[in-house]
Amino acid sequence: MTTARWIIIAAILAVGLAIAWTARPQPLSAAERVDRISAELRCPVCQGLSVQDSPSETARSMRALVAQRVAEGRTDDEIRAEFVRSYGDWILLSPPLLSFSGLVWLAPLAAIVLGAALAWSRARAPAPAPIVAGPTDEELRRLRELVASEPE
Amino acid sequence: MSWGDIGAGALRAALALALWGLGAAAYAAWKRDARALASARLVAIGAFVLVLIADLAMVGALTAHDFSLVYVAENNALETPTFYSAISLWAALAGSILLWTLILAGAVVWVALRGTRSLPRLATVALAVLFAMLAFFLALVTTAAADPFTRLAADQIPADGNGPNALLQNHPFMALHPPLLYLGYVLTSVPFAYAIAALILGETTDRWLTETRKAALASWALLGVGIVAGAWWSYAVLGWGGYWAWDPVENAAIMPWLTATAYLHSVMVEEKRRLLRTWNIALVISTFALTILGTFLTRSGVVNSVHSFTQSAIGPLLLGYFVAILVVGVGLLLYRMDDLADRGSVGAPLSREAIFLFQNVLFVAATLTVLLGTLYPLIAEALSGAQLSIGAPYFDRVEVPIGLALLFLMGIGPQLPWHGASRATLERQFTAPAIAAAAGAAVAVVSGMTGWAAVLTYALAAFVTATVVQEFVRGVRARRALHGEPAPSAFVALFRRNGRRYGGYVVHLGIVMAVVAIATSQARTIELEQTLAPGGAMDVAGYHITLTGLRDIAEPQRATTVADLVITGNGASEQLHPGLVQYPNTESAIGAPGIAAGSRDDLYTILAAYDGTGHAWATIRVRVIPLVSWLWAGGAVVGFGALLAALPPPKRRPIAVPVRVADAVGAE
Amino acid sequence: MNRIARYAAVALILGLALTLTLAFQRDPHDIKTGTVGKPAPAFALPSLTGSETVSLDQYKGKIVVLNFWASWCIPCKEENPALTDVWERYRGTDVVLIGIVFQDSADAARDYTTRLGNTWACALDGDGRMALSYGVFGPPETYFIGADGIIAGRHIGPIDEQTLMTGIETLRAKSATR
Repeated sequence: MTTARWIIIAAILAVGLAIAWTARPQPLSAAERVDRISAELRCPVCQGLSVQDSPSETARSMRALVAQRVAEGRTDDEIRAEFVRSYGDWILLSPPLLSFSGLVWLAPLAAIVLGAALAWSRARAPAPAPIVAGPTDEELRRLRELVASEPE
Repeated sequence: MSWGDIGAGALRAALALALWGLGAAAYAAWKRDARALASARLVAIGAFVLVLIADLAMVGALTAHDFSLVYVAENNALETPTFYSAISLWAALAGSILLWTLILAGAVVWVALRGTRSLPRLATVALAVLFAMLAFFLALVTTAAADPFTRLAADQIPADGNGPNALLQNHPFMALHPPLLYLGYVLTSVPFAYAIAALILGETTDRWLTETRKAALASWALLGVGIVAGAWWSYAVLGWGGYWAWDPVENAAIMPWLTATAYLHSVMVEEKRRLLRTWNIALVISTFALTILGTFLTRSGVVNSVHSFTQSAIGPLLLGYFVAILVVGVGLLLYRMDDLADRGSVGAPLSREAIFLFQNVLFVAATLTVLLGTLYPLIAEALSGAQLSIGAPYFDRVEVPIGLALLFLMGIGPQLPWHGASRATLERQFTAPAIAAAAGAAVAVVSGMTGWAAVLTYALAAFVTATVVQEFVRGVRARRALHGEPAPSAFVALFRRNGRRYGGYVVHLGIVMAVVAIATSQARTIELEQTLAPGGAMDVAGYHITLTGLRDIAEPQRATTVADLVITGNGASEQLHPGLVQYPNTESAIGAPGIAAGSRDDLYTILAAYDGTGHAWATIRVRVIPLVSWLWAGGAVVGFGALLAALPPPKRRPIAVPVRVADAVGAE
Repeated sequence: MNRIARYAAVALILGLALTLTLAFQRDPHDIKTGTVGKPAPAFALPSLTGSETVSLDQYKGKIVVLNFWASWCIPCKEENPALTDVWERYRGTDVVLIGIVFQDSADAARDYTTRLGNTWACALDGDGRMALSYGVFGPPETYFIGADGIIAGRHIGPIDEQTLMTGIETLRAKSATR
């Protein structure tokens, strides 16, 4: 293999390593857990902002409640369920994976796979025979007339 | 004559002219009648002038506080400063449509005067289509649903109006964001009109592409810059600390931009290899349809959003228009599909056209995802009554991987030649960029980025940058070898000779800047919220923030409470004044953030709450957001790159070449 | 291929048009809360006017109309006469009206009740937890809790006398038939 190929492979491996390193499972601190849960809850009085982003007082009291529950040792699901009890599924900013609405997670993947498959089949399609035909006699005659009449 | 009379009269006259223009242009195209075309041209100018008069009349009514008009009574007050009165033209639905109609009328004039001279028949049909659209919007602003010049009965005229929505008079930038977006939106109708004309006439050439290239690029650039302007607005004015919330109206703007980006690339495949014709027309139709859908979502009141204020009767009309566009566009496309079928195939998978094709797939998938996410709550509720939300967590998780894939394609696409490349070529070309990618990943890890997406973003950003630099170096070297130019003038000549390509590279660099800014700001923002008494301080990421006090500012149109903060640390020394602004017509106060922008990070301060009675305490929320300024800078670079890409190719000097045609033709 | 494309296009356009038309039937500001039909969450909050506690079990077996308000809330002032009327009408019966102060300071709230002359019991929800447990979006909001302790209904926005009466009488009829 050429040097260039080695370098490219090495570079790809390096990037892969870096990604694996940052993606390694790390225990979340309490504050990070609060942030993560708050980012998935919708602020009831804002226009679609998450509880983590919203500076409103309702959001702040929700964050305080989340922080307290995290300190009490509740799981993420339990904390989310508490808010769903009060506000309905509407309070979750994304539908859970294992629900009927979870299909919205599938749709983008399906679109890409389908589109790529279509594109691939189009890319591989054999070219239809190109239409090649010389000029007819009539056309040649007119061509000559046109050329002859062109100004020098 | 009052403002209302002038405006209403001008609009109705313009509607009559638009209908006349529609008939004249259609007749001119059908019968190739030059006089009809001439009258259509005149009518186009007339319609534009009349709509301009109507817009100016509304601006006049607003600045003169003429409350006999419903629109003025609802969106203006005596205390509203003149500047904000003037820009209240687009403060609400009826006035916005007035602005939209003005831009559309301008596009009609452009096609009527310039377009018809270069491609007479095609442009005339396109003109007829545009007149039809203009007539629709003029009909919209003359019906009761959205007539901005609706009068109040004489005994109901208030002494003072409501004033503009609080969010809209908070910042002078309101003068820029909507007009930019509207220009982007409306200009997509020009390629659309030409595409429809090409379909009607059964055109199989690609002339309409070149003709509309400027309009397509302009609309794409203006939409893009308008979206970045909106993000800046969200960041600096709305004051929640972020720049993008996947709000339905933000989504409405980005969807046509995504398909327009796909189009800008796939159109090159059509020009170079005469492929993807059907696909390109479909993209043009989709882009335009999405702008109407976006307007519908924003203005009909069916979605909960920052921008939606009331439900209005204009909803069904816009929906009908949207469906009509789809039916006409898709119908014509299906009718002509066989004539437009590709002669040839894309071929090699490692070729520029294949990369563009796959990039298109990704862009369309991204668009469909945004559409699904925005509409799904409506669908779910309509079908099952269940109310649910789809917000940032969904969009981020889906769009980030798509965006990273697109970033990767952005690096390899321009490097691959048309028709395919050999392995050896690829290895040679991608060695340096691969090393750059590894370096980028290293930088990410060392600077403490968390999350695989951020590391991959840095790697790919370095990758793309390296490929762009490589391209420029190659181009300069080639020019120096060919023409012996010194490097700087060779560099400039690259843009002059091939503005589209190298301007496009500049755009790519701007995108890279923006993407790096987004990844970094999302991954490493540090936040702290604390309640302080005057004199108290808090420390965040090396900044030392002291609250010196709270004070009230009273203005005729609003009352503000401001927290005075002194910032030190990290080499900074300044004062910020985040506040809460109370307008009389809204219940809750609006936040005005205090931002210290820098090239490394922004210090973003919010006054979350304060002691109303004694000013004894204030809750200050501080965010240190790294690299967010690069997002605005990236947007500017994208706009600049688009300008470079729009540079006309150099004029070719005609050279006399003696050709013995008679001989060639004679010998057959 | 063409036929598939044709049908797909027609289906897509129809689907989109149908969806968006259906969308008109909903009011995006009408969010159903999760607590209607569920047992009313217990609470024990400091009273606004004294040092005692206002709690839900004090009114066990009674019909409770819970009204969330704040001194800065303009529609709350609008609905106050309706509340006063209803309070006067049902005072001493099995129906009780309780006001919950939402995101407000005790002083401002007391000032409000004094100015408007409200005499029904009001409690201060200092940290907002109680409102969160009920699923409150913002004042004014009124909850109807039956004698069985289940939240029977909720009204968002300023309430009028008619709606109050209907809600209360429905609950009274239900508890009478039990």
